[in-house]
Amino acid sequence: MRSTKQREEKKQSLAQFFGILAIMAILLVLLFFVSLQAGYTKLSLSEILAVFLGKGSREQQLIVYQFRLVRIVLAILVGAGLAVSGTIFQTISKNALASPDLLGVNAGAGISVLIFTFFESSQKAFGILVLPFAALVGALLTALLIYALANKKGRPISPMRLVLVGISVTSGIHALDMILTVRLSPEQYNSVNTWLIGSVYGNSWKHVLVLLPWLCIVPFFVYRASMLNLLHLSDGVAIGLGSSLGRSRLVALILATALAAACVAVGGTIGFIGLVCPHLAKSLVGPNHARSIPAAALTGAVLLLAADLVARTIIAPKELLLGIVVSLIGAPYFLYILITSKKG
Amino acid sequence: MQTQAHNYFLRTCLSTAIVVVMIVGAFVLSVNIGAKQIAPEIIWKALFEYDVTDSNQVIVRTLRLPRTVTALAVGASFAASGALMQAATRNPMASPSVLGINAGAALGLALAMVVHPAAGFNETVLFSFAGAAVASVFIFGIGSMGSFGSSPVRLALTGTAIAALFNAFSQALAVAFKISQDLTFWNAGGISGVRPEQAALLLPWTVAGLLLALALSKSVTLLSLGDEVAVGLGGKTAWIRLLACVAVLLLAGSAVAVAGPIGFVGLIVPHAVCAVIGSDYRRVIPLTIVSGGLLVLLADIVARSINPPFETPVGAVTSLIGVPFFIYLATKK
Repeated sequence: MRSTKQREEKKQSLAQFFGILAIMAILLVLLFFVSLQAGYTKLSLSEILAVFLGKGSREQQLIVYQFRLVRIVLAILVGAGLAVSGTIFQTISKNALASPDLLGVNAGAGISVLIFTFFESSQKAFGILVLPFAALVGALLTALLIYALANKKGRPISPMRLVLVGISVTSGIHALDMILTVRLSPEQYNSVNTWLIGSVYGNSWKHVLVLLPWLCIVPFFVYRASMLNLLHLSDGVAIGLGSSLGRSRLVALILATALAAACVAVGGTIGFIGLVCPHLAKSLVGPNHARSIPAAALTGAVLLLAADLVARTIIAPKELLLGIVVSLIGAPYFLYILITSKKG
Repeated sequence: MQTQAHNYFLRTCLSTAIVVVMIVGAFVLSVNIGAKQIAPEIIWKALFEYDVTDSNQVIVRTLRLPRTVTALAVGASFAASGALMQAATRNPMASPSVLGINAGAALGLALAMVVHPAAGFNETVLFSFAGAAVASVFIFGIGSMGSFGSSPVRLALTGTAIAALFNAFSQALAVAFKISQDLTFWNAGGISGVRPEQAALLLPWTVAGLLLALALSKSVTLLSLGDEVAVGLGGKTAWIRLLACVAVLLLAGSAVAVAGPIGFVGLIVPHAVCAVIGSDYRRVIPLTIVSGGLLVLLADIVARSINPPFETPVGAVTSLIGVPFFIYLATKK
């Protein structure tokens, strides 16, 4: 039987949790409207509302629905997906540095999409529906390769070594990317390169539809939060509490990889979101996955939407690539984690 | 002891001879292979009895020869700076590409293109030095913070993060100021388009840097034994480190300014050399210099033969060799 004090505390922290979520949601809504307004043709708030009510001019309708809204929705979805995937990676490997980009999963997804588009150009009919699956195959193969390389029999894998192997496999894949892309014509090269660095520009609602089913993985993780909490404990404790570790870990790993792969298939190899957002989320709402996953998803959405807003306004009328802005924020944060983490 | 030293001396002579012979072979091959095959005797003529009316000889003089010489110079520079860094930091993963120094030099170049686009090579190269210097201050500043100690893996990770940051800045500049194409050309390893004047301007910097590296070879051998030993044997560790740093900046900075950040050469070559002839840097550095030249020259030949008539970036080829080696280093013990 719990004392009233404990119950009080729990209630208070629950209120705090919803408070933080609410603040982030408000931030997201604000960014949403600012993103709709900003751009080559400035739209006022009343014009946007008019468009939503079906009253704006045809030109305004086109700008809002076919250009800006697609991009905003994709930024939100990709940001949330990568952040949640990063959370799971960090939980399973008990490694604060683990994330789909540092472990080479994004690069693996990227190159298989690249290869796929090479051979697939003749039959575009089902092209983009298949892309996430192609990405998943590449991502899983890369993850396996990295695990096999870093794993030494009988010894636990050092977190830093795992990440270093991931980074070097990533740079090998980049070299292969380069060898593949030199065959392309300049225009093709430009579009492929844009996608490789990461961008949510130039996509259509079809891309949103392709990505959406994969994001159902996020609520599934929230639903299985207690299982994830167990995985985060030391193995002995988790087994003692009756969890079949091996299977749940494998399932969680495959789902997290699939989530990252689908995001890469649509948004390109955007780095650092999967590293930074889980950290921010955990420092805001604590390590319980029932809370940290929604918080990470929101943080990822806010961060990527903000980065996209910066990318297209800072040097307007030109555009910076989204991936560049994310690296400018993410790389210093990565350094910060490295400096503050314990010796390993 | 005596016999072992003798053994290493023999090995040094033998491997240097082998590498030099291979360089001569690769040199001929490198001038020979391309969109137009050029017979070896024309190479000879172009070198010693130059005739401007023969188009083949003009190709040799203005395209193939500068490219070949640059590949040798750049390879020697990256390899020698890698050897100096590994000895001075006693860290097997140290090298200009892994620790982000190449990325710093590349950012310096991007800045040069933005603020002073009309600059000649020698001015541009100063920007490259400055960028490399900033990067090395960063890496060793951050490296000495927190509970870093001398963990090679941690230092390598820090270098990667710094490189990512600097690359992002370069890309941002490239997009914002429309120098994207020039910069991509560099970043991919721009040996293929090198002009004779560029090669001529590069060489003084390379020679100066290599001479400094050779002069330092005895001192860095002391450093590689550990600071206490070095001080005990009368070495001035701070001075040696500073001079080694200057040599690295000269070599890596000038090489990046011509060829772009070609990765992994500075990492692989010193290790391979040490594996064959031991870790006396008085022998390691000269052999590293010639072997580095050979590696990049071979990589460049491969790069233009993979997919002719297209050029494949030479940096991609060195990465494909370097990555497995890097993983081996990162996972052993």
